[in-house]
Amino acid sequence: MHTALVTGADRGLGFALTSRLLSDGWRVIAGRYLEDWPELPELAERHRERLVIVPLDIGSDESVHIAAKLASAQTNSVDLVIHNAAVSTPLKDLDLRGGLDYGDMKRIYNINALGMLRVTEAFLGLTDAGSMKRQCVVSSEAGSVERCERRAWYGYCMSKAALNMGTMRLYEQLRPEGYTFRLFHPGWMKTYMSGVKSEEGELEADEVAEAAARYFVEPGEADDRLVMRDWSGKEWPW
Amino acid sequence: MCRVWRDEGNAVLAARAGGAGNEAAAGTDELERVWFNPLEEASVRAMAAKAGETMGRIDLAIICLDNRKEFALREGFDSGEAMELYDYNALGPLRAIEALLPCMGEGSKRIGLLSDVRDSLTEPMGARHIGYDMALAARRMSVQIMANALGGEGYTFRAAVLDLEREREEPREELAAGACRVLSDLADREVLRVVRME
Repeated sequence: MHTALVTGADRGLGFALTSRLLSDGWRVIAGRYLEDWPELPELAERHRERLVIVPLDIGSDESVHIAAKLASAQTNSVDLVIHNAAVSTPLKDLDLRGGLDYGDMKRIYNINALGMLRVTEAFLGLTDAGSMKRQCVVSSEAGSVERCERRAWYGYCMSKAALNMGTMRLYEQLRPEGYTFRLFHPGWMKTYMSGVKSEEGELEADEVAEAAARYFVEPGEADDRLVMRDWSGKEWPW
Repeated sequence: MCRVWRDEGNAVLAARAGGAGNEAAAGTDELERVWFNPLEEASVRAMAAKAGETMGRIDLAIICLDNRKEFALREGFDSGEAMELYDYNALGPLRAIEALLPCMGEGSKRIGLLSDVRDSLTEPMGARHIGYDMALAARRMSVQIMANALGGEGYTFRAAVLDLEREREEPREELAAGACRVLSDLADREVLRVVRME
C-alpha cells in the first residue's frame, strides 16, 4: 500500500485529494491546520486504518518537525507528498501608490514559498525510503512571470514565482536521487484561501482533484522535465 | 556605474545600502552619498526624502540590492535565512521604488535593476543558492507587475542580468559600462526589457 502526505488537507483541494487517494486505496497522512474544521475527522471515521491526521502549520519550523515525528511513528516511508497548503490575503489589491503591506507579504511568502521547503526537508527521511519519491507542488498561474498581466497581487504572485523556482532547484538536486516532481496549477477554483469558500471560481475542488490525482500519481513525461501543468493538462510557461 | 554616469555629466546620488552599523562607511570617489537600510521602511523613506532634497527630480532610479547566502536541503536549510534573503533582495527593491516614485513623476520615469543570472528558471544552476534564487524569482515577478501597473503612466523598466558573483570577484569596467547603456537608454520606450549582460 502506498502512503501519501497531503498538506492543507482540511478542506478544498487538499481534502478532495485526500478523499480521492483514500478511495484509490492509499494510506494518507493528512496535515491538519484547522482544529475545529470537521471534515477530516469525519473522513477518518470512514477510513480508520488508512487516514492519519497530524497537526501541521507549514509556516512553522517547529510544527513541521513535530508533524514529521508523528508521521514517523506511524510509517517507515512516504511515497508521495502533495504540497497543497497555501494562503491568499485580503490585502492583495494594494499597490505601490496605495502602499504595500510588507509584513503581510512576508507572511504569505513564509507559507506559500518556504512552507514547501520546510516540509520537503523535514520529511526527507521518510520520502527517501519511499518507493515513488514523488513531490507534487500545487502552484498557480499567478507564479508565471511570462503570463503575468496583474497590476497588483504582489505578495501572492511573488510567493508563487518563488515556489516555482524552489521546485526547479529541488528538481535539480533531487532528480538524480530518483525523485520526480509534479508542478500543478489548479485553475480558478472555488477555494477557501481567503478564509471562507469563494463562489467566484469556475471549478469545484472535486473535479480538480480528479485531474490532479491522475497527474500526481501516474508516470509521465514530467518525470524527466519539470513543467507546470493545469487541471486540463495544459502546460504553463515560467 | 555611478562613476560612469557622473563622468558623463549627470548628477548622481549613491545610496549605500547596509544594516545598522554601516551608516558611516565613507566613499572615496566624491559621489554624493546617502545610507539606507533596505529592510526598514522608515530608513528607505528617509533615503528617498534625502534624494528628493538633493536631486529635485529623479530621471533614473537604479536598484542594485544583492545579498546572497549558500544553503541547500540536506545541508542545513534555514527558513529564517531564506526569509532574510526575500526581505532584502525582493522586498528591499519594492520599498525603495515605492519611496522614490514621488520624486520620479516629473523625470524620465526609468527604473532599472541589476539582477543575477541565477534568476533564470530555464537554466540549471544547482540548488546551493535555493533561498537566494527564490528571492530573485519573486523580484522578477514584482518587476513584471510594476511594469504592468506603471507602464501606462510612462514608466519604463530595465533589468540588466549579470553573473554578479563573478563581477564581485573580478569587476569588469566594460560590463559596467554596458549595463549603464542598457539601463539608461531613455530613448527606448519599451515598457520592460530584461537584458543578459555577457
